[in-house]
Amino acid sequence: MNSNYLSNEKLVAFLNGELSPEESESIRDWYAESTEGKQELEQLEQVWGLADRLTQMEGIDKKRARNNIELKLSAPNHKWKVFRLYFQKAAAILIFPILLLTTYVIFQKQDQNIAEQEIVAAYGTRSQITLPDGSKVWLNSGSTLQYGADFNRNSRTVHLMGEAYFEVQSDQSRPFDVVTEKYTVRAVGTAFNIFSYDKDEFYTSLEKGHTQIFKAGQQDQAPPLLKMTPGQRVVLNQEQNKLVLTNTNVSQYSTWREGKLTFKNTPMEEVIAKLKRWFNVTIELKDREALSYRYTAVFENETIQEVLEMLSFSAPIDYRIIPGKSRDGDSSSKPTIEISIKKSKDN
Amino acid sequence: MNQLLKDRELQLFEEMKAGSIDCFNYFFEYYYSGLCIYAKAYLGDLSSSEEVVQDVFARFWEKRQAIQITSSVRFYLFKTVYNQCLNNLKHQKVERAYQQQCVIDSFDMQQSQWSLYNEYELRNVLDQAITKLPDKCREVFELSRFDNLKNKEIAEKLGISEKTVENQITKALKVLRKELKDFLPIFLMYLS
Repeated sequence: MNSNYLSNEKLVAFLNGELSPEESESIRDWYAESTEGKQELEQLEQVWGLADRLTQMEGIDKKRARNNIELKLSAPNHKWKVFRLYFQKAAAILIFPILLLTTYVIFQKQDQNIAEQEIVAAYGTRSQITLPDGSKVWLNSGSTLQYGADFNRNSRTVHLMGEAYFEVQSDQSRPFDVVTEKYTVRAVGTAFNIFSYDKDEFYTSLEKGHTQIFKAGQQDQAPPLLKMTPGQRVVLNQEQNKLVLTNTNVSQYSTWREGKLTFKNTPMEEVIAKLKRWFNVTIELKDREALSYRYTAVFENETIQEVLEMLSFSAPIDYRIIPGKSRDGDSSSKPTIEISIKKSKDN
Repeated sequence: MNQLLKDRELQLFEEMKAGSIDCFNYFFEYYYSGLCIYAKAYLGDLSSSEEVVQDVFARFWEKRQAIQITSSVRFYLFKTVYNQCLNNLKHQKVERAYQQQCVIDSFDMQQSQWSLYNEYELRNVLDQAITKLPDKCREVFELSRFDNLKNKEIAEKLGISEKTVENQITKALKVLRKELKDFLPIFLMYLS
């Protein structure tokens, strides 16, 4: 087959549905000359349609649908009222709220003129704070936010270790800079999420406004590495040490603010890291093979036991919870959880 | 892994039979959206497709004691939705006989190899494949397919010619076709 015969222009127009029926037919005919060609066209059309398919699926309102199903089942004269009882019972058990203590510690170091504020959301807790300029910050478990006494004077700079969501007060004259170990995110009137617990980890997603990303410390000298528009997410690719920009459904990355623990095709390693911070527990993975597992789930008020139980539904893991006291004489009272691959029972 | 998922879901289905609403919720969360888009290929509009899938799920819970699943839960759900779509169309056929005839004739259980994927699987597969594209190429492809921009608009936005946009899109398609092809054999395991 002569692959130069069909121009890229024609092919793209065909896939876009911009050709007349006769022209489309001629393209089909051209491909149909060989079975190989036929398959190629079919696959190209499929790839073309995948993104649409995905956008449509992600746009479906499952919450509403779930309510509809419940209504169908509890309709009058319906003998399956039992369903409703089950549902209520399940909900009652699940609302075993982990008290989200918004305990944060404020250290005030009154050295000379420099009063540095440090806000810590301890493991197992989340905090919400309002900065002196009126901007709001949600701090996820195990995160630290620092800012100097001169915050809001000429500039607005905060230092972040961990994960936080920002709703920044608009102020064109004073940019809002979030400095992490590796990168600085600069914003004016914006809502965005940043995740950087470690120097090799960096994600940010933008819901509203505009942000710019700089190498940390170079925000006033060098041009930005990247400019983001709403709906975009930037991920640090560790191997290549480069930032990758993608368009995605960004709201899923800040659901933790509402007390939801969300996994979307999340690898085991990340699941463990999140559970550790969220529940303030130690987790030991016994079988390395389990690192290849991926999870998709949303948790709202579940206890760590309930979460582990649900996770073991979707991939075969076993877990054991060891209460926190006197383990190797360690005085900390953190419980330890051991995760291993489920052994089949019949041998 | 796919075999594991299949086994695991059969086990979950047994627990659902025994009354676990959590297991029912798992199937709903995991398959609802994919089933709706699958049904839409037959019924044409999303709202009647959602209606069909909601009915299927309601019955999935109601009749759970009587349901026998031999292949996989995934296959069972898709097949039930498929049958329901067929019934709907047949019902409509009585009213508008000539209109639907051709639709029913062209029925095919397998719309495409992707049709049984749910959004989590598809997102994962697509994200993985897209990272394989060169930067410029990825940008053009995402603007075209996710942001639904016209080639002309992309050209203006990025300050390149329309010809370059077309070339980048074609390049992206060819790379993605290669990348995604590998997922097809894995997919077939779900059905067996």
